[in-house]
Amino acid sequence: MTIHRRSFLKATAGYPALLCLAPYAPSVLVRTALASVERSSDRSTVLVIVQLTGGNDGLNTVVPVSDDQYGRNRHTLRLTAREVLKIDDDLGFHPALTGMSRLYNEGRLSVVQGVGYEANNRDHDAAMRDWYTACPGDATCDTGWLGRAIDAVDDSQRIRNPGVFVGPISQPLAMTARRSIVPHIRSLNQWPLAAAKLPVESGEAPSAEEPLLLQHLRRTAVAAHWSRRQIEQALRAVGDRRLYPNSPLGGQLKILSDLIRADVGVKIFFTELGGGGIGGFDNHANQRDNHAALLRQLSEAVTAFVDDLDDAGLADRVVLMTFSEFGRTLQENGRRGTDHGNAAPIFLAGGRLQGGLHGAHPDLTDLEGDSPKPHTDFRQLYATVLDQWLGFDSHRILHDNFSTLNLFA
Amino acid sequence: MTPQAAWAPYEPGPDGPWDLPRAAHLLRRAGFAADWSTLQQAIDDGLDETIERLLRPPGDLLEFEATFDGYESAAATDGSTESIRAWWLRRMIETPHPLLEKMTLFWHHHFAISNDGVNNARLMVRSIHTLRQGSLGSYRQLLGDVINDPALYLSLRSDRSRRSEPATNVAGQLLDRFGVGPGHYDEHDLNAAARALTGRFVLRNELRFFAHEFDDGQKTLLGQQGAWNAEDAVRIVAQHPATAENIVRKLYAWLVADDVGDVQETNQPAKQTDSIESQVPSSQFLEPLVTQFHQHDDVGVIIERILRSRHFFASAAYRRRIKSPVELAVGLARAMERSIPTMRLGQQLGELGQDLYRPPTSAGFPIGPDWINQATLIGRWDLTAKMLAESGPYEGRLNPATLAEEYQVDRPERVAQWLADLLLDGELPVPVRQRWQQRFTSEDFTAASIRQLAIELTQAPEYQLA
Amino acid sequence: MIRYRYRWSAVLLVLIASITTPMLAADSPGWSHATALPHEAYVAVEISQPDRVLQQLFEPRVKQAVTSHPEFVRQRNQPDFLQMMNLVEYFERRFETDLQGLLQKLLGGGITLGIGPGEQVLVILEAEDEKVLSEVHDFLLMIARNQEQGQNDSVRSAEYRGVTGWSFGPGQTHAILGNRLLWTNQPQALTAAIDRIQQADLPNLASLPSYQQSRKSSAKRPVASVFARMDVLKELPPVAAALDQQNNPLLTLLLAPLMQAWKQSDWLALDLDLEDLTLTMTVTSDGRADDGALPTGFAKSTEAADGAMPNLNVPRQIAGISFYRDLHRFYAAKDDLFPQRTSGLIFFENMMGIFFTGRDLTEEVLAELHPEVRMVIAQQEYPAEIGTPDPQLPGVALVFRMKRPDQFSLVAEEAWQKALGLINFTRGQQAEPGLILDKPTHAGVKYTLAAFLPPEKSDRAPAETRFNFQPALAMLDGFLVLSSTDALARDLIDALQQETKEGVVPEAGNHSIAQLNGSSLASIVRANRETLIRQNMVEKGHSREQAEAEIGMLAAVVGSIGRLQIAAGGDRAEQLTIELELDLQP
Repeated sequence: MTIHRRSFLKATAGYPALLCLAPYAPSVLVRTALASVERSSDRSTVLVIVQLTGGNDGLNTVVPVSDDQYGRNRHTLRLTAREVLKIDDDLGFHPALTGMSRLYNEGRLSVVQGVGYEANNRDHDAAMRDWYTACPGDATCDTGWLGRAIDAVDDSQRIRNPGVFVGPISQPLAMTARRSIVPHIRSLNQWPLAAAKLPVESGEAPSAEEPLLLQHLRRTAVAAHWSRRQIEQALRAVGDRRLYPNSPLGGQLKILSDLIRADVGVKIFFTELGGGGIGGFDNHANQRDNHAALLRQLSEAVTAFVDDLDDAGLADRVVLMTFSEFGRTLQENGRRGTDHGNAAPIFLAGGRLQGGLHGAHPDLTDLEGDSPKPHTDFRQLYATVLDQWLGFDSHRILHDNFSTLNLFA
Repeated sequence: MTPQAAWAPYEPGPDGPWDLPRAAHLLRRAGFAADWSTLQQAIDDGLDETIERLLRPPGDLLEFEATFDGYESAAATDGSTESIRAWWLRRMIETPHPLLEKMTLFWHHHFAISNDGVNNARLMVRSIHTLRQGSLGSYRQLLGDVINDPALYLSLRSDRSRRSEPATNVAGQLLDRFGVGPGHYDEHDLNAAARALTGRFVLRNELRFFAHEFDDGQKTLLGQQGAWNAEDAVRIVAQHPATAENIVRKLYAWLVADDVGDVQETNQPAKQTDSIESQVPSSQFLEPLVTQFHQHDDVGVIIERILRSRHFFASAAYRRRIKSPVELAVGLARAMERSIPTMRLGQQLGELGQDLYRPPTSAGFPIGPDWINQATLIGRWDLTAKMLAESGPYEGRLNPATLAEEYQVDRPERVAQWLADLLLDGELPVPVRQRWQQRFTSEDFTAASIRQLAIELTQAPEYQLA
Repeated sequence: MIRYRYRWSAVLLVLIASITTPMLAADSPGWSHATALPHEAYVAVEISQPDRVLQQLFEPRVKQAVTSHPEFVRQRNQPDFLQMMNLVEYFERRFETDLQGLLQKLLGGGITLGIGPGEQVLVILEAEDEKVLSEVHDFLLMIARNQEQGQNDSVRSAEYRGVTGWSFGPGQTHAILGNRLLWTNQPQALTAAIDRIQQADLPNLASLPSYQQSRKSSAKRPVASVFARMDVLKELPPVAAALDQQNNPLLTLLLAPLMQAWKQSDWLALDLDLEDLTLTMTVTSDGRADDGALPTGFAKSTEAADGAMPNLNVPRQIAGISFYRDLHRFYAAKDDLFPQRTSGLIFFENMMGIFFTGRDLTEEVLAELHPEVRMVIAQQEYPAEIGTPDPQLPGVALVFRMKRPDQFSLVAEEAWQKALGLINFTRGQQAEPGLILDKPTHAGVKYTLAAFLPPEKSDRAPAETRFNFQPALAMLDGFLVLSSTDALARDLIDALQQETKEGVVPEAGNHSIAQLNGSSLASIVRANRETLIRQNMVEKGHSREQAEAEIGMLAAVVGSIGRLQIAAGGDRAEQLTIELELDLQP
C-alpha cells in the first residue's frame, strides 16, 4: 500500500497549477490550463462492458437459419430465414436486433462467435464468477479482471476513477479491486461527484513542501472540482444529444455517454441488462417474447449510444462489448424455453472495429451436453481489449498469455 | 535518534507540550474523535491518566457490551448484514471503550472475513465478537480462535479440506496475511500448513473435524518438523519472529502513520515544537516493538507502548493517516455527542469503500491514500455535510448549535474557534473564519449558520487526516 | 428556531386536549372562501364547518383519552407547554370562555387554504367574533416586537386599498379584513387577494368550471373538502412519476385502474365528514374508473351486477382486501402494462413453468380463475411447543375462485406440492430444516398443510422467523385458498362455507374494497414492540427512550382507528369514486 514520492510528484505535474486557483473563475489562463488537460486525454480509449444476465440464448441471437439441427430442435422458438435480419445465407440476427443489424452493415458492429470456456459448469453463480475473475474454478481469486486493470492504472490517474459501475444492481465482482474504490453510479443526480454540493473553496494547490497525504488530498480535491465542472458542461450541452430509449439500459448508456463527453478520466465502464439476480435472459419458460423484449432493449440502447458518440465525434475512442455467463441448449425443454448451455456469440460495437463475423458458427452436430462448444476462450477477448484497446499489459492482469484476436481497425 | 529513544516514553516539556493537538491526536488514534468534555479532561489530567482511561475505562462496560450483544443478536436474523452493520456503527458511536472498538475494526481489516462468502449475519456477529474478545490480548490466542471460526472458511470459499485434496486457501491466508508475510515462506510451507488444516469441514455453519480426513503425516513448517495439526500450525506461525514484525508493522500503520514512503521530510507541521525527526518504519526502527511483542505476545502492551512513545507524539505521526470512512463518520458523531441513523450510514460508508462485515477481498479494506479518489473525496464532503444538515437522511440529529449552547459557548465570535478546537485541533481556516465574521456581524447568528460553519470545517483537507 | 416548532406542537396538543364546558352551538355563515383564492390555485383546502370538528374533538371521551395519554402527561410538564397554557388561560379569562369557545370565536367562520400558482400559499381564516381576532392579533404583534428586543424592528406594515398589511418577518405577510385574517407567504398574493375580495368580478377559483363541477358532485355540504386540479398536478415530475409506475407487476395489478383514472382526470375532490367519531372521506374525480378498451381495463366488470366480493371475516382479522381483477386479461396485456423483463418476472415465469408442468401461464392457468380475488390478513397465535418468534408476522391468505374446479384443482394441488418440494430442496442445500407435508381435515374439507417440526427445547431465545409459516392449500366449493398459516386456512374454510350458505353477492360497480381493523393492527404493533423499537433506533438515530415513545405513539394512533373501510369503483357514470370510512376509537 505504498504510494511513492515519484508518482506523487508526477501526478501533481499533470494538473496545471492554475487550475487549482479557481476552477469556477473563467479566466483566459484557467481555460488555457483546462484545455491542456483535455488535449492530454484525447488519445485515451474507453471500454464499455454490457453484461447480459441469466445466460443469453446465442442460437436465437445470431441464428443459424439454414442449419437443420437448429430447425429440428426448436419447435416454438425457431426463427426462419424470412424472420431474421440477414447476415449471410446461413446466419441472421434476431428480428428484434434491427438497430444492431444496421450497425453491423455499417461496419460498426462485430460478432465474435463460439465464445466461452471448456470448464463452464453451467451454474449461474459459478459461471458468472469465472467470467468476472477470469480465473475459472479458482476459489482463491477474489478480484475481478477489470478491478485488477483499474489497480494497474498509474496513481496519478487512479484518483480520477478509471473504472465505474453504472446500474441499479449491486456492484459485480468484475470491478472488485484490491486497492481501488470503484464508484457505483445509480443515477447521475445521486452520484456525489456529479451532484453533491461542493465546498465554497475549491481548495489550494498542493505544495511540495507539505506532507504527501495533504498533497494527495489537495490534488484529488482539484481533480474533483475540475471533473464536476466538466460534467456540468457536458450535461448543459444537451442540444445535440440523441434521444435514448426509455429503458433501464438506455438510461444507463446515456449516463455513460455524459461521462465520456465530460472526459473525467473513466476508461472502463460496466453496466448490465437483465435485472441482476438470476437474470432476465434465463428463459426456461416462455422464452420467445421475453427474449425478444430484452434483445430489443439491448439493440435500441446500444444503437442510440453508438450513434450518439458518433455525432459527438467520440465513437473512435469507445468500444462496447457484451457478454453473458453462458449460452443455452439447442433443444427446447418442453416449457417453451431453453436450459443452460455453453458457447455463445459476443458483440462488439464502436467506431474503430474490424466489423463483420469473427470465427465460425459452432458446429451443431458436435455438441456437448446439448450445447454448442466454445472454440474461442473468453480470456482471448479480454486479452485483446486489454492489450490492443486499453493499452494494458494483459499478462499482468490475466496472469497468463492468451492469443489475441484481430478485432480493431 | 535511535529506535530505543523513539519508542521511549514521551515527556511533556522536552518532547513538546501536552496540549490540545496532542490530546486530540491521541484520542483520535486510540479511538474515534473525542467529544469536548473528554478532550478537556484529557488535557487537564495529562497523558498517564488519559492512557489509563483509554485502556481500562471506568464504568460498567459489561452492561454496555451485553446490551449491544443483545441488539446485535436480535438483528442477525438472515443472510443480510445491513442491520448488524447499523448496530456495530452505533456501538462505535456510543461505546465507553472506544479503543476496544477501534482495535476490533483493526482485526476486521486484518482477518478480512466477508459475509459475501458467509451469507449469515449470525456467524458474522459471532466472528466479530471473537475479535472483540481477543483484540487487546494474546495474538496467538486470537489467531487460534479465528482459525476455529467457521466464518473464516466460508469467507474463503474453503468449506472442506480432505486428506487427498488439501485446500490451500486458509493456509495461504495463515502464512501470507495472518502470519509471516510474503518472502518468509515458500510452496513447501504452504503445503505443510494446508496439510495441517486437513480434516476441517464446515457443515450446517459449524466447523467440524473428521479425523479420517486429517493428514497425520510428518510436515516441515517454517523449518520445524513434526506431525503438525491446526493448533501446531497456529503456534508455529504465531511464534515466528516474522509474524511479530508483520503484526507490529500493521499496528504501526493503524495507530501511527500511513506508509506512503513519506520518509525524508523534516518539515514541521503546525503546532509541533519537538525535535524528533521522522523515522523510517524499517525493521531496525520497529525492532524494539517487534522484540517485545515476540517475547510477550501481548497486543495491549504494544499498543500502550506505541501510544506513550515520543515517536507517536512527533511530527512523523501527527496527521499522517487518512481517516477511514468509519473513523470519519463515527468521529464526527462522537464529537457531536449524538447517535445518528446508522442504517443509512452503513450504506453510505459502503459507497465510500468501507462496507463493514464485507471487506472487498481477502486482503481486507484499502488503507491510506487509496481511500481517497475524486469520487470518494466528494462523497466524504457530502457525508459530513448530510450528517450536519438540519434535515435529510440523518434527520438533523447532530446539532453543533445546541452543543455549543450546552458548553455555554454563546458568543458568536467564540463559536467558530470553539468548533475548530473540537474538530480541527484549533486550526480555523482563514476563509472560513472570514465568512463566519461576515455572517455574525450581519446578525446571521442562527442554528443554520452554525451548522454551515461546522460543515465547512469538516470539508477542510485536514479533517480527512487522523 | 427549533424551540418555536416545539411550541407549535404544544399548541396543537392544547387545541385537542383542553377541558371545556359543552359547546356553544353556532351556525357558521357558510359562504365559500374559494372566491378569494386565485383561479391558478391547484390545491384548495376548505374547512367550512369548524364548529363540527371542534365539537367532536372536545367530546368528553376524546378529551379523556388525550389527557390520560402518557405522551400528553409528559408534555404537560414541559416549560413551553406551561407557558402556552398561561397564554390560553389569559385569553379564556379575557373573553370569559373556555378553549373550545375561544377557538370557536377565532376560527368558527371557516378556514381556507390555497396553494398555487407556483409556491404561493394563501390562508384565509374567518373569526366568529371580530374582537377576539383583533385582540389576539394585537397580542401577537406585541410579542413579535418584544422578541426583537431593541434590535432592528422586523415588524413592518403597509396600507393597500384601506387595508393594513403586516409582516412579522421575511417570507410572510398578513392582513385583517373585518372578521377575516388573510395570511400568505408572498406579499403580492396578499394584495391580489384583497383585490378579489373587494371586486367580485375578478377571476377566482370559484369561477373555474372544474371547481364548480367538483362542488356539484358532492352530495351534501361536507365538514371539510379538498379540491385538486389534476391537470396542473399531473405535470409535476413527482406526481407524474407516481402515476407512471410501470415496473412492478403487483402494483400495476392493484393500482393501475386508479392510476389510469387519475391520469385522465382534470380534477379530484375530497370531501370529509365527521359524525359521531366516524370520519367519512369521499374522493371523486372526473377520470373514468376503468375503460374496458384499455390495457388497464382488467378491473372492468363485464356484467353490471359484477364487482368485488364483500370481504371475508375471520377471527383476529387485521385487514381484508377484495378485488375485481381479470387476471387472465391482466397478464395477457403484460407487454403494455409492465414491458420490462426484470429478473424477478423471468424467475416467476420459470417457476410457474415448472410448477404447472409447462402449461401456458396466461391461457392455461390464469384463465382458469374468476376475477374475484380476496386477501385476508390476520394475527396468529403460537402453540406453546413453538414459542414466540421474533418478529411475529401475521398470517396472510389469498382466496381465488376456480372456473372449472373439477379439472383445475388437481393441477393446482400438483403445482403446490412441487413448490413445497422445491422449497424443501433449496432449504436442504443450505442445511436448513424442511417442511413436513400433512393432509388434515377441517369442517369436512381435506387440505394440504406443510409445517416445520417444533424446535428442540434448548434456550429461552425467541423462535426463529420460519415458525411464522405453516403454508396451506385448501379447496372447497370452487374456492382455492392459499394461506401462510394453518389457523387462517381453517378459519377461511369456515368463512367460505358460511358465505356459500348465505349466498353472498358481489358489490356491483366496486373494483376494490378494503377494510382494516385498528385494534388487531395495534396488537401486532404491541407484539413486535421490541423489534420496532430497535428498528427505530438504527433507522432514525433515536435513543432508546425516544424510540419507545415513538412506538408507543404509533400503537396509540393505530389503536384509535376502530375500523377503516375503503371502496373504489365507478358506480357514478364517468366518475371515479373512492369512499373511506374511519371509526375513531378513543
